Amino acid sequence: MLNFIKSEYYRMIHTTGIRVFFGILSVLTILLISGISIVETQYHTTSFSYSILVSSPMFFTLMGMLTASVLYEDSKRNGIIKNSIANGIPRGKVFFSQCIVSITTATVIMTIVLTLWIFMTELFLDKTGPVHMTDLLMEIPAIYLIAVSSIVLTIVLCLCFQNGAFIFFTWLFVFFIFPTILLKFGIAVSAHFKTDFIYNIAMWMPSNFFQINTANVNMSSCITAWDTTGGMLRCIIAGISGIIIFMAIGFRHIRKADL
Amino acid sequence: MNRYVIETKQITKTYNPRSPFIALDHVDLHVSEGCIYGLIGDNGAGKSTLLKLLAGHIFPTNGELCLFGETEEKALCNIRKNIGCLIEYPCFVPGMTVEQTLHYYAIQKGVPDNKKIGEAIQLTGLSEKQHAKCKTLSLGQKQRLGLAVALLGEPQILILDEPINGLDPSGIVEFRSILQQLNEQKNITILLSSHILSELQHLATVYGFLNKGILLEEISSEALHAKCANCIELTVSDAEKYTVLLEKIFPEENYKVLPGNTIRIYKPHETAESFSRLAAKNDVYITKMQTLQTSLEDYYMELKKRGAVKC
Repeated sequence: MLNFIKSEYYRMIHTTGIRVFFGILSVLTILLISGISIVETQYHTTSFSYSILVSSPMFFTLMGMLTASVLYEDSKRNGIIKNSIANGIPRGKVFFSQCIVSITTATVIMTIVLTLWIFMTELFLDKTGPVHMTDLLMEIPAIYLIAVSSIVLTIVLCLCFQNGAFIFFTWLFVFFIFPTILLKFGIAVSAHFKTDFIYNIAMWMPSNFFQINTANVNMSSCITAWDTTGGMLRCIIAGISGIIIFMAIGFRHIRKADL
Repeated sequence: MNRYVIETKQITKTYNPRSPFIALDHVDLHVSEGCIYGLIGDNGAGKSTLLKLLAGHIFPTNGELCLFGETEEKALCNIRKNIGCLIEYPCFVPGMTVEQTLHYYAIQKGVPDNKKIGEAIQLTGLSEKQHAKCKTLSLGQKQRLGLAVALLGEPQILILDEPINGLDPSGIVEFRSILQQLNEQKNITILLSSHILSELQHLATVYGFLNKGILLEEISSEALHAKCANCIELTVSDAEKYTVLLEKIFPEENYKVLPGNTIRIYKPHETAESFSRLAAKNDVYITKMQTLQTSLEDYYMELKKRGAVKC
């Protein structure tokens, strides 16, 4: 397994995909913060800069999905999986190694880009407003495991499908569309049948509880889903559950699927 | 006795359970150590399916796969480290160069020595293309790269699916000599499939004929040669005198007299030497003698017909 992981890092270094992705993220960060700092408006504050990320925690799951997609969207087409299995690497280990490689890569990219974001924000913007650097730093442990589950799901989808658009829309369905439908359905059920069962299940889905609990991050207040111990625990449990569910699906699929 | 390094026991593979298509039907394949096994079959006969099963890309619906005597999935995985595969269209990361691709697979296979990469490049004739990106390679060059990747880690078995597809004529000759060299010098067992029978005829020491998922026959090249050698043609000084002698001495022989004092003896019971001696003893001169063989194509077509009748 270690050899496979090493070979994947070698591939990553010698292909342009992940470097371009990292470059785009860094350039966008620089452009965005520079833009905010140049224009002299009420948004010329650190609070506004941090609130962009703090109010949209699901952005991290999207970034996780994009990192894994850049790395493995073509893995079926490029023969990475077939050749590795023919080389005697057990199927489960191929899947697990892909998850490890994607998670570590995404973590490194996130660390560098966030460092750049914080550095530029602190350097160029006025230090005022309700959202602070600590809010962003507290967001990371809350969202990290959920972003990891997003990466695992993307790897599973890359194993199942070859079409990038199909991978993206399936991911979108699992992380956004299905939770929204379930939430609406849960609200309707609780209104008509006086039971919160479905609503409570829907509220364990990250996009729902973030949408409801981080709605108060703006220029005048900062109340996030991970402010309370219960909220933070919900984030962590949702992340771990996602990882376990998607890992189980991935292992089951790769162990039985014809490639 | 030669041991089987690859063996399948009643392997069946069915696709699409709702309207099943039987790709392989109770196949018993036997590949001995050190042989070059030529798997012959039409398109869709099940050759690639069988090779994919051996490479671990797909699972059998029924039956057992045995590599070096092992049948457990975990053990098979380990054994596959000793097998080099080139199955179907060779796929590589398009943005990597030939050398980088070999480095990538060398790391994956745990090959510590960079010399092996150079050797594989040299052996497969990719020296000029080692810095070229995979996306710029022709199909033939990709086949060569596929072979180079398969050769990393010094495999004991090579499994090659239609390896000469896309190769130019000189490439085919070169590829053939590489395989022969690997088989003779390193005792690598080679299992290769093709529907270009003339190519396999130059290489294989054992043949397996696959048709519509059924393995019709496994036969060594010697046995096949003997089976195909079914006619002796003699050109003699006096055909009339010789046929009288044939009737008298070898009455069981079935022959036909052709123009130009030529006699064709079908499925002879006697050896060529006996016919020669008979002529010499009776003052008949043989000016030409040749063994006529059924071609591999004809043999395969006949086998297919018989197989279809059996089915």
